[in-house]
Amino acid sequence: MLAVDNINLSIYHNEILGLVGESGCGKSTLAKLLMQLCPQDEGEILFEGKKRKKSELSTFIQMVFQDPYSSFNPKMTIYDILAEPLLLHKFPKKDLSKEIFHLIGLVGLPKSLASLTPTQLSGGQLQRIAIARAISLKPKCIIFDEAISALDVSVQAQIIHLLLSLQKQLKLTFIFIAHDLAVVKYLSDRIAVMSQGKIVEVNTAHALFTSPQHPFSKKLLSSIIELKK
Amino acid sequence: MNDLLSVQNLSLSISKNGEKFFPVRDVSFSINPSEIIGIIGESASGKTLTTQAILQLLTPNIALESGRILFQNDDILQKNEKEMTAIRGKEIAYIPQNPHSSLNPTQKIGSQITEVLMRHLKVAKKESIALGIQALEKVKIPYPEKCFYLYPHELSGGMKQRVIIAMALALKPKIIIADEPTTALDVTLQKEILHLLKMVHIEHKIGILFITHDMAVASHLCDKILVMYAGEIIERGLTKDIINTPKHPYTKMLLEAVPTLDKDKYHNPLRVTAGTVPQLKQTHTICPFIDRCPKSMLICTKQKPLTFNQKSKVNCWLYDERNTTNRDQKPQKKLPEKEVAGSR
Amino acid sequence: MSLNNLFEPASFSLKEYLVTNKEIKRSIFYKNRYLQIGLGIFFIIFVLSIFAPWLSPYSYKEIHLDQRNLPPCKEFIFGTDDLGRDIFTRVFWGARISFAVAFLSAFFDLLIGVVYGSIAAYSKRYVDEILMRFCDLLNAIPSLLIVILFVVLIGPGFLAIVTAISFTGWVMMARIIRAEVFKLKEANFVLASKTMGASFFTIFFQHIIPNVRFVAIATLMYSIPSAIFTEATLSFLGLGIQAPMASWGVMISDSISALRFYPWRLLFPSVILTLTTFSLNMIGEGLKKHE
Repeated sequence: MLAVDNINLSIYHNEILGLVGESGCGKSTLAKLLMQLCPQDEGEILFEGKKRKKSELSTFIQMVFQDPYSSFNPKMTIYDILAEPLLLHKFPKKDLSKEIFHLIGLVGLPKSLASLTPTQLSGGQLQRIAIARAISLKPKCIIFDEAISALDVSVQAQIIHLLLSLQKQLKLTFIFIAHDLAVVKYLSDRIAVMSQGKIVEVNTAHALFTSPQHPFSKKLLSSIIELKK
Repeated sequence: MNDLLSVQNLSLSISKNGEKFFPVRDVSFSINPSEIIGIIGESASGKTLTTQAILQLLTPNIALESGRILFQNDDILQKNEKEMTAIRGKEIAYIPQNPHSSLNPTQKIGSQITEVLMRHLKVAKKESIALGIQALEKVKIPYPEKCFYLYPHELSGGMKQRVIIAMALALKPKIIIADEPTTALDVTLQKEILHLLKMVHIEHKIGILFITHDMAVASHLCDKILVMYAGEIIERGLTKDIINTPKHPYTKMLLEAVPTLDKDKYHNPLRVTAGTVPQLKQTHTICPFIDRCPKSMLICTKQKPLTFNQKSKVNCWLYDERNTTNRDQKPQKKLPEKEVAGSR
Repeated sequence: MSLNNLFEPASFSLKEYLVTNKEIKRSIFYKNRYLQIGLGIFFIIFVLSIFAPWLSPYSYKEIHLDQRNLPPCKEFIFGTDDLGRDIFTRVFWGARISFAVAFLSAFFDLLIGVVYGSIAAYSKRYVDEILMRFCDLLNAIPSLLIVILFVVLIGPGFLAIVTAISFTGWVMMARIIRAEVFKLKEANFVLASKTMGASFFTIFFQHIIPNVRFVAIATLMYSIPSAIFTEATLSFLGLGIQAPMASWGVMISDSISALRFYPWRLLFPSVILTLTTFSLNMIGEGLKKHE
């Protein structure tokens, strides 16, 4: 069985695409393929119509991971962590501080955080920094691989709010991978359902939830537990 | 009529660098075989520590500060390790959060079940095998005889959780404590496990203490709900009262922060509350929710709230009869939008 | 305070509960007993090894045939050996030898061990296998044989000892570093750096090395005492430092036959050797606790 099997998917500018499926269905593998972090056997990935080299990729697409604590080098300060991508892309040193503090503020955190290390921050704060790092290179698209699953409910709501406002502000495209269907429905414009390496259904969020076509989509939707009043 | 399990004024303390902190403060509740009690809380609410305290499974750095836990009118906090091993599993069963690490990967399922049965029920091996297969049948595992001779890694997550529930059931306990049993599993399995627990409760008359952070799950399964925040129970009552008419601002926040299918980012957005759960502190003289509460009053900064009886019991000054402000009106002040989003 | 006031809305601002960096940095040394003891003892012995032979009125090879086998007294703090040489001066001269062995073995440990381990962690599976099996082979050869080989090739003495110890001493470090790098190169933050366009060398030196520093130093705190002890053993057997040079091993060897009559000749070199090993182990434990 292939981890990712003959996927044909288009992602449009300025949309939020939700990607759902059971564990092991290949969602994370697909994310890694889009980031060119693992090799592909067949097929091609086009960004705005063209195949891109690895060096150009970082200005097109970035990723936020599930576990906030392992996403950062525990020995670096937040300032250095945010400086790294900027310096790698030859950002002028004199504007560096200003840009870093601007990014920290953009995700709703106080500037005093810049001198701390990842172990001193909470999960929610770290995910905000991960988002700040992802937008620092001004990509067109960000992939969120179960990025809020490990957070508290109230913090999840804050991050969702942040994501929506950032998307509007910076005109971004999001690929949101999650297993919590209600969150995916809330955030996404379109949703792609994956099962065993294949995409079985793609539709707008509203249409998918009112009239799912594929049996697996129906199964997923039937497993949602709604608040019982 | 005495309760089967009664936690009375339980307080736990943890010592760090010579200073004492209190992760659980004055928690009291009771469980009977006829009910499923749900404890709802986010991280650092003290829910896991409370359940570990019941079974005396706390790590050595956590100490009992005060309180009693009466099981069948016997204070089990005073029991020694030998007495506790007779209770754990046989009288009070525990279903932990992560099924993948709860089974010994080097032992076949069958031998793990029979080991437990033989130790507690003092039966011979043959009889324990028969009992074990019976237990697997009760949790609706397909082909239980085959499953008996498999290793844990040959089963899926859902199956493993069923096996653990089977092991919990096999000794016919009086209470089952389930600590977020569905969090580590796929969403498609959630409903099955919850249905199984409900069935176990009804058929075998076993009381269940169910820990979760998910209000929706609790609304389906539990009869009564306790809401914990930063180590205290801030609201408790019947499920329908808490879900339909939540009183405490934190309970309201929990219900509003979860995207349900009727919410929409354009037309019916989530209400977001700023701030995070507070860190461990040494003294707790005021309400723990004060820095995030949209309705905090002067008295909230002076004194810890007492418990007031509404439809549910709530620890909040808003419900003091002397409070003349309208509790259900919109929040009096706007919270600074610092942690939500913004540019400087 | 009237009841009415109590139920007025309060103005309460959001507080941030953040631990500052300063508190963390200070606590590393101040609260770590092991580090304090270890560094303290090591520092004292180190300073004495520099100044004691230098400031002492006697040299390490100065013979006083009329003052042989004296117990500790006013003129000779640790007493004298059977050629009338001052034990105090000789013990700390021996300390110099041991520290030299220590630093050289640490240097080679880091140089060869870290590089070898990192290469193994990054190689393809079968290359990694070959590299590690070579390590096993090297480890399996008894160190005595290696020393004899070098003694035959370059003659006995300090150089032979250091070469022999360094020849196989790096294997433990290589294994440990390989395990750490293996773990780290799959970590999310390394992937994140890759996605931001970092080159292999940037990732290696900025992300991997700072995170193995710790493990490397902790391992050194065990391999250095081992090296010192090996030198002492080999000198004890007569394969290392030769007379009249003083080494703890030589001194211990000379003192065994006369143990019943002049026990201080064995006592002082053994105690200082033990204290040095102990202090390095303490430093290692202290660093482990901090991590």
